[in-house]
Amino acid sequence: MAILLAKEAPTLTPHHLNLQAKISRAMGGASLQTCLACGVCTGGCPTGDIGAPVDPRKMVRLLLLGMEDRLLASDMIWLCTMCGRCTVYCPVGVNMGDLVRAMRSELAAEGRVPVNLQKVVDLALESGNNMGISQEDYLDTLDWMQEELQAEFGSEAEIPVDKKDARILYVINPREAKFFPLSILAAAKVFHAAGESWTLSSRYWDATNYALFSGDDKAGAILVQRLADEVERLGCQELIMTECGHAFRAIRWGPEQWLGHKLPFSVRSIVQLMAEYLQDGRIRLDPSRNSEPVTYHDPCNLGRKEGIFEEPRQILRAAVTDFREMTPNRENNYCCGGGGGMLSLSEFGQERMAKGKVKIEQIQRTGAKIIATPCHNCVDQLNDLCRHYHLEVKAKNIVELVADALVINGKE
Amino acid sequence: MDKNGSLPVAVLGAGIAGVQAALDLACLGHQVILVERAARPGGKLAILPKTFPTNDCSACALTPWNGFFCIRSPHFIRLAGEDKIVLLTGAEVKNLTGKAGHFCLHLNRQGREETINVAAIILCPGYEEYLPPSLNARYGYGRYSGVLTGLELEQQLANSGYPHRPPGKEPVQRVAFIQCAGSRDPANGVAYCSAVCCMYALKEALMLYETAAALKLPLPQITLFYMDLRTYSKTYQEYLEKARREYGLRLVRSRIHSIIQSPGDPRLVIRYAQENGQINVEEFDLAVLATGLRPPDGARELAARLGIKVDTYGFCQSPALSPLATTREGVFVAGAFSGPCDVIDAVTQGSAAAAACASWLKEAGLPYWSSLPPKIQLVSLPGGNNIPPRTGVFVCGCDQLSAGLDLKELEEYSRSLPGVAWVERLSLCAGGAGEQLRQAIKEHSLNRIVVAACSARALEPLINTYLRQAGLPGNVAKVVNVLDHAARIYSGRKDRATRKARDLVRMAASRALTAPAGMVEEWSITPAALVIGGGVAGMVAALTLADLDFEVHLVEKEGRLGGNALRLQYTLQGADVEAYLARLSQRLSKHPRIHIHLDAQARTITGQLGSFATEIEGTGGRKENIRHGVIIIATGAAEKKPRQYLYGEHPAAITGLELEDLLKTRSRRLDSLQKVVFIQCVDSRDDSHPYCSRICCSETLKNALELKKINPEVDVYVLNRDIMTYGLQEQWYETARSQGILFLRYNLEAPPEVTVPAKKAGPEGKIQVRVYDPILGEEIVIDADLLVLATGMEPRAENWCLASLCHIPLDENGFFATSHPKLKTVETPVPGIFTCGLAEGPKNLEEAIASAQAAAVKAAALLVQERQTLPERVARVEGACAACLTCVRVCPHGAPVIKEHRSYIDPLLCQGCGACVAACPAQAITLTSYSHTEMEAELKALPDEPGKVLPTVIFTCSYCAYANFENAVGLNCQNDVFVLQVPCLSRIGTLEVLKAIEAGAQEILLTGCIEGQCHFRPARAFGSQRSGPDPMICQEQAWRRVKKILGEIGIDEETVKVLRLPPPMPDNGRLASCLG
Repeated sequence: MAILLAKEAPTLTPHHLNLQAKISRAMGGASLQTCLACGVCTGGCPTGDIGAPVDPRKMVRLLLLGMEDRLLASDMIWLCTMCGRCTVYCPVGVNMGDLVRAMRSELAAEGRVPVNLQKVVDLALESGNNMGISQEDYLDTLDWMQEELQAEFGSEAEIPVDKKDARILYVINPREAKFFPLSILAAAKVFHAAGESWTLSSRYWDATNYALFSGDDKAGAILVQRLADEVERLGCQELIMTECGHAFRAIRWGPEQWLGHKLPFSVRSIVQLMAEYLQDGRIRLDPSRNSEPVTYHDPCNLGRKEGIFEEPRQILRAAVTDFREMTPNRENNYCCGGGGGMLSLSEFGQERMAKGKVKIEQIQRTGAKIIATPCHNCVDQLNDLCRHYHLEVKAKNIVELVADALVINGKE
Repeated sequence: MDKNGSLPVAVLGAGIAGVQAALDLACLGHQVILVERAARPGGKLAILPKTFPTNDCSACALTPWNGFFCIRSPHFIRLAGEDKIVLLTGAEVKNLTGKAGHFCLHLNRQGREETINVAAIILCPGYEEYLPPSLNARYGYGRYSGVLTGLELEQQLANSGYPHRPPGKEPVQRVAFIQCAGSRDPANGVAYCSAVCCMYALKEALMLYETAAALKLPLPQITLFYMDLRTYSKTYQEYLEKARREYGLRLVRSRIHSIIQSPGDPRLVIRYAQENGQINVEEFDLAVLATGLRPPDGARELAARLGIKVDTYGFCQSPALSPLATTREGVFVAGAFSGPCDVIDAVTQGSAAAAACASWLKEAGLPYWSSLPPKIQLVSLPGGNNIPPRTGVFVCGCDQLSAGLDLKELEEYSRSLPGVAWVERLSLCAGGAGEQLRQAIKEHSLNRIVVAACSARALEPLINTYLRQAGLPGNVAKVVNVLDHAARIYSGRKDRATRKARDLVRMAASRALTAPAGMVEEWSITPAALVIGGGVAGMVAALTLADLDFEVHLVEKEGRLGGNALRLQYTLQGADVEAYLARLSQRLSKHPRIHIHLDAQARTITGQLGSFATEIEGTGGRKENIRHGVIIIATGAAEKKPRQYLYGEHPAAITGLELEDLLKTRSRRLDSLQKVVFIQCVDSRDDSHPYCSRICCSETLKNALELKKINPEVDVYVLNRDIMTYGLQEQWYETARSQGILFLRYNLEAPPEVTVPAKKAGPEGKIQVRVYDPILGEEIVIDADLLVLATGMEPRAENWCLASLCHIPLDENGFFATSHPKLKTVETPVPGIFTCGLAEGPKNLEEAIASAQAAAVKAAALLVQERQTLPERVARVEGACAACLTCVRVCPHGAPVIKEHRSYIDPLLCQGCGACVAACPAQAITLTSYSHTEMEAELKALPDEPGKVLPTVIFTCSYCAYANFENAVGLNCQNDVFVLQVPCLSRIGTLEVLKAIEAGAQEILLTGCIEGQCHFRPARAFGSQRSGPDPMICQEQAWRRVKKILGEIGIDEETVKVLRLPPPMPDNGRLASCLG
């Protein structure tokens, strides 16, 4: 057996386990040390060998052998989309998403976050949303959408802003306000059809939290606290998140990590809410309005990390005629390749497209024309991929398909 | 169940461990109630066609000399003497009341409440296959076609042959074995290793290769995905090498993430990482999940009802260094319920639990129901061969027989046969049959017996014992199986069946007329044992035997008892070895029946089973002669001295035991350590030392954890090839990792390098270890303060002397060989000589204790008999011998030797297969009950009237082939079928086939066990001789010759067919397919 020796073999210094202990703590347990080096994770990363390599086992190994500096300097930490597929079957329960998050947090503390990712976080902190949209532009967009809504449903239909004591506060992704306002309209239609008491906020309405990706715990705390304050200010009972995976993960996982306590109100995704509407008969759907074949992509943050697998499927089965599962799916689904802040890490743009090939092939095998997925991040990545690989498939949010299939009494 | 206030022992669970415990207790004279929850006994072994490492069933190797046992037979277990083992199936334990020695066991048996009074309990409820839901999520088990468990694959191979994918299409080509499917998965609640999966996966891989080869299919390409390949027993490493070298089995060290099968595409896609992180994506036709073991269903409830403690998983807990005890007095445990284990360990534990239970009963002075084997009288047939034969025919009248046959007509017919003086009905399964038989023999002066009943192989040991009690030698009896071979073959046709029964009785009666008067040789047994070796195994064996009331001479070559254990402080589990040893020594030295000979050695050993004489030389050449009935060899093994890694050259390089010494004395040297490196498998598991020593990994973990305890800051690196923490030991591996101990893998091809750092470059006194870490893909250098070399065990060099003194063989590695590597774990091939502890092979302390107890109980079973008789069925040279050496060449057991220009067959070594009888060109050899005259007489009585139906004669051996005919039901057979049983098919030679043709047979089937599974094949090489062949192989030439002869005289050669039958699966006999 030929073995390639490093020119300078590393002599192991007495390692102090500083970083390792810290990270184990951040991961909420000491399972990291019990790593069996079995390779479940390395084999489980669907794209680790495509383009720039990502090897989860190697990351753990460097950490355990005390080679912390090498790990911190490695691109792997930023190339990893933190999707967690690699360790979903880890025999000792290591969570790679949490591990990479902890590493990034270490780097963030040293100010070593990649520039483009840091920009997104900074912009959110400064302007109130991660795209720097002014309040005026935002409210204009909402007005426009309200007009559209009323054209269809009459004047009693509205898109309420800062409505005190509404039952739910709905927060969106700035991407919607800037590029895809129709998804705000779609959500409004669904709320209207369900007779929901809801509102948007005029101040802090951005659901996203890129500090989850950058590792900046202080920023994470500020962004989470903003949403909590809005719920309190408007006297709402529940915070409903738009179809945004990381935003949902950040507000579910973040408060205890960053604020040190749970939020005093319930937080759900609009997907969960829509499934509830459907189950309670508050909305009715006509699947024949969506007759093209549809497949479903499980966003990592919503699925593997927050366990939301069945609600979107219940909705899709009711909203479309030809629903097709992709293989693998649910906890074993492949990441779209855009997670973990990859979309904003333009330095890895080529890698993102290269690694996305696995996802594209998986979608192609279903023969679907529409990929439904409750994550704006995934939608962008999937549409980018389809363009790049010349696949005539469109990625959509679920709320859009639901809105198209709504059956309103007295209409149509 | 009560007789004079004495009580039986209950064994719960009739799997292999329970059967072994029951048999051993019964051999000591105990009454045993074997309670089985399922409807059939036999446990898991009965549904496995073969087990590793022998690749056969061979469960019948447990059969005691005076009984019958076949795990696949409907008769299961039969012992001579009256109902020594009572089997209760379908019985669930409800409660246990009373106290140790006087328990009340409350059972629910087939819906009825029953209470039995027992003195003690042995728990052997076994295990269940562990099938967690994660198998579906990860590997698509139950969802994807082509994903199955190991057990399913095995049953498919046994029932429907080589797998095809999709079913009925192409034979499978690419097969993946997925190890640790469910086991070693603490994140999912199962942190233990299931101990058997690596080996059974290898076995199944071999089965696939061999089946494909036999069917002339292309050999499959098999890949085995694993984390650590746990080939942790003596012969397991070689087993692996066989699969690798002979068939090219591919091993990939990788735990796979998942299996993906796309809809409409049968291919199973596995993406995995190699050790160096390189990714492969491969497709397979079949994925076999090596699923593990879990405690049996209801184990916790059972434990609660019995008042014993179980661990977090539900396995039974035992007190430290009492591996067979439970937390409740009088309740013992054996087999997989005490933790996942293989058949070898389960059987050893079964015997050991019997020993622990029996000596506890003795020690506690409790009454128990003991009936020793019947006293044997020295007999010969009154009047020799000159008095006219008087045959008694006994017809068993059980329900099945009365329903299938006209028994009245059979009796009438039997009366008309020549030589028949008496015909009587009896019921063999009911009590009192023996008494009825004895009385009839006495009243009617019978000297030949024919019994028409069911399975001959199950009944013969019983009938023989009854006859001996009546003063007749066993060889004058013949059992004919009118149930299977008449009533069942022709079920639904009572006339035809009855006619067949008449034929069978006629043939047996005709044969009985020629049976010679038998002789029984016997000698008395000295009720004392010689135990050689005073380590823990020898001490435990001595104490167990002494507790059972036998005199014991314990011979130790050193000046002190304790052996290797003197150097140990604690076990991995934390048991205090020093305290244990002190207690043991104290009990031994005070025991009135134990004679300790220190600084002593056995110089000469003469005699045989029951009457050995040994000269012991003690200090100053003082000699002493002792007499004893058995020998137990417990001479231990030694830690191998490393020949590399600067051992002996650099003070930092020490062995594992040397580290134990430092730990035991709390050496100051340990306080200042900063970096410690352990290297595993030093000079082990390579070509020159081809076995794993089982204990080195766990010893390293123990010592590494101890070093961490002394100084938590110390860095510990364990360089290993596979970590062998099998079974429940896996949790210590996890503990070690969680304490920060680092494990680095190295390959045999790229071992670590150890150098002394150049004076200026490296710190003073350190030793430099360079090892390639495959995960990082680079070499790592560790400047260690201490280098601990785990070298494994090697047999003692002086084993050769002792082996030649006792005339017993050593195995290929130099340990003492046992007569069966799987099921006779303490018996050497020579009757009366046992071996245990490390002398037999590597073991940890608890395993050594269990094997010592097992050896003691086997020895006690011989000593308790008071008198020994020669086995009845042996070959003797009686005719004109030309000393042509044919028998010497043919015998697989080395029994015949040439003495004074004549062959002499040692009756203690003869196993009674009859190969020499058929092979002897001078027909000079006779096998008791199967002489040429007897067999000829039987064949001559085939119906000579040329009837409408043609006679088919099936010769069958008494083991797997016969078992296949025991289960055959409802045959639609045109021919007149005669099943004739011989001990081994090798007894049938040219002569017998020709005689059958002469007697009118139109078709002859020779049925024996499949190759490699013959009951009479030697499991071991004997001494320096190479292991002899399967005796049937010797006869194949004769069978070819007879075909040629038939061809020459114008008879179709295909008249004679040879069939080798695998052991039957439950309710799945193969007679139908043989005749089809």
